[in-house]
Amino acid sequence: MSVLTGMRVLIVEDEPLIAMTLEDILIDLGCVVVGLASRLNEALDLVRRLEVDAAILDVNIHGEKSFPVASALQQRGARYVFATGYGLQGVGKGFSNVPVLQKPYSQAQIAAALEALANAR
Amino acid sequence: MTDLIVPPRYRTAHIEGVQRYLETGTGPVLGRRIEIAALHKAGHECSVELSISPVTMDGETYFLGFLRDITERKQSEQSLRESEAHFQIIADSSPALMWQANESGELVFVNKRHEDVFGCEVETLHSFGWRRVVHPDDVDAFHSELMRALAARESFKAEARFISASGALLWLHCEGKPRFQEDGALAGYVGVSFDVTEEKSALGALAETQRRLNAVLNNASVAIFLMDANQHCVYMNAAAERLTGFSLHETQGRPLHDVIHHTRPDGSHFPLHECAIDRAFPQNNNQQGEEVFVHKDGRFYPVAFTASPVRDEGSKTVGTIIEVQDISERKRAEEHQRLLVDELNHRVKNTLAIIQSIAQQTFKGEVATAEARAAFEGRLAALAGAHNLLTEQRWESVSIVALVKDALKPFRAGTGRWAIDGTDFQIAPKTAVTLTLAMNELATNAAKYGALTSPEGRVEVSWKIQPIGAEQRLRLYWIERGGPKVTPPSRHGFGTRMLQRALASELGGKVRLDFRAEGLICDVDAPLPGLIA
Repeated sequence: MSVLTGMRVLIVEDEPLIAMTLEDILIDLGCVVVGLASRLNEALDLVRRLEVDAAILDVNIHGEKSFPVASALQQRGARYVFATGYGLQGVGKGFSNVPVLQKPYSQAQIAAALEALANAR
Repeated sequence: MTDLIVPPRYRTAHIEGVQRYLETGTGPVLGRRIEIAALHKAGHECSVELSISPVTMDGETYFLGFLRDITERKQSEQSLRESEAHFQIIADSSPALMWQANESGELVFVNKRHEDVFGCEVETLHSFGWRRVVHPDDVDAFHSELMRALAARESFKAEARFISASGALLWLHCEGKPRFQEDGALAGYVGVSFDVTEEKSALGALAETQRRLNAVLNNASVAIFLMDANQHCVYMNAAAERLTGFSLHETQGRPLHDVIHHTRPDGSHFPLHECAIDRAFPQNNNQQGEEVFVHKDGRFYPVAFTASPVRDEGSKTVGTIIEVQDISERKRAEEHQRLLVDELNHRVKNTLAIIQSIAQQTFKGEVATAEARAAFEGRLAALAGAHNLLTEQRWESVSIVALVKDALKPFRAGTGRWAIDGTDFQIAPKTAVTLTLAMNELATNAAKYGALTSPEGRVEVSWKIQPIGAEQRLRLYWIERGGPKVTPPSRHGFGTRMLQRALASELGGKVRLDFRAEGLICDVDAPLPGLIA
């Protein structure tokens, strides 16, 4: 049994095909996908309503940064990683300690990132 | 008496004269004043004025004589003659043109040089005959200055063009001083005229050079400043005034730096001694670089500058010349380019992630069959087609009509089985990519299992914008007819998930798949605002 088994994960990703695949990967890894948001207000709503252990946040959601979602997760004590195609400079200054997954990412990279979050607890 | 004062050489004539008078009663010297030499007691002769009148008293004839010593007068007359001779020599040998005019302004004397230059004597120039030697364009101004001087009894000063005897044009600078009689009446003018033709042509050449220089400087798009040794601006061209918002006089009284470069973009004071531009003067070499200036209206603007020292004949630095170019446009273009490259990077990464997703979904749990590979290639082709269409529209937005037709093109060749109809509107690039992939899935399915597998099969793609309450909604239908009998798929493959999950999520609406026996119907219901770019 891995640390990932049963981990409640929220996906924030505006590209539905990528979200779909990420969902498959997470299910394969034994995680529970508790929510999938493709818009910021949806994501904020889900963070408020759901019990979330970890989140994978696309940095750019329909042209806006997902930093408010990151802050909301932080307040609720949930861990998260960023996923972006922009490279490291796409991530804001206040989030320099947050792990960043470069798109396109592999299943192994997702697993490693989530394990790191689980072990940091 | 005669022996006493008449010089010996006149004595005989004197005696004969007296004798003649006594005989005839006439004498040439009587009754008038003559000038003659007399013998001084000291033995020398002196000039005297003599007047002798015969007087008869009691039958006796006497001669009454008046003698006046005129030695001094003679001497002054002599020196006057000498002085006049000297004046004549000076006047005639002078390179200047000398003249005298009477109280009416009429020329009464000109020197030899004057005669030579104009080839005429003073008489020719009488009665304003000078008008003939003055250039016609200058006559009026010259005349009015003359009239003004005469009326005011003041000095006369004029510059005018003249025509010499040889026909050459010459510039004369003429100056005359008034002369007055003892009673204060104006006697006339004494004057000198200098040939200033060379100076005039030098000034003309200078003015021409200046005019050309101004034309060059003021039409240049680069701003040019000239600063003195105190870093004060002494010249700025038109571009410099436009660039800074200041006119030259507004920059006076302080270093130029304090006018246009006093504050850094962060709002802090920028002292002159720290400025790279002004270092060109003390360090005596060319400085180049980029700085941010402050406009008169307070805004900052980026510039590129070159500052070069200006040296005098002795190579001593006496100022700085600065060329400045506004590089706002270039900076904006650079920033724009940086954003574009970032955006491109993002899109490439995103597209790679989408391809990765398509690959994972296509080959999920299967060995790569020829069928799966063909499906994958079809999906990549659809993705590439969407990118082409978006690139044509500069990734701004794309027409839904163009998108649907383009996505279905590979399936429509040579067939009259399609009906595509719908209101055109623009959709956002991201939505366009998903919609293209969705159309590709529907068409691929129709070609493999649906209406396109039989010759009678028809596909209708239609959509409309429907107002539902205050909201505008898109209703899109994919309707297949005339194909083989449809059986619902036993498992959900990529196509089904793509439509029901990905497309629905992208549109923020619902996508319903109805596998009716007579043909597949796909029904899309989504809010319109989410679609419009």
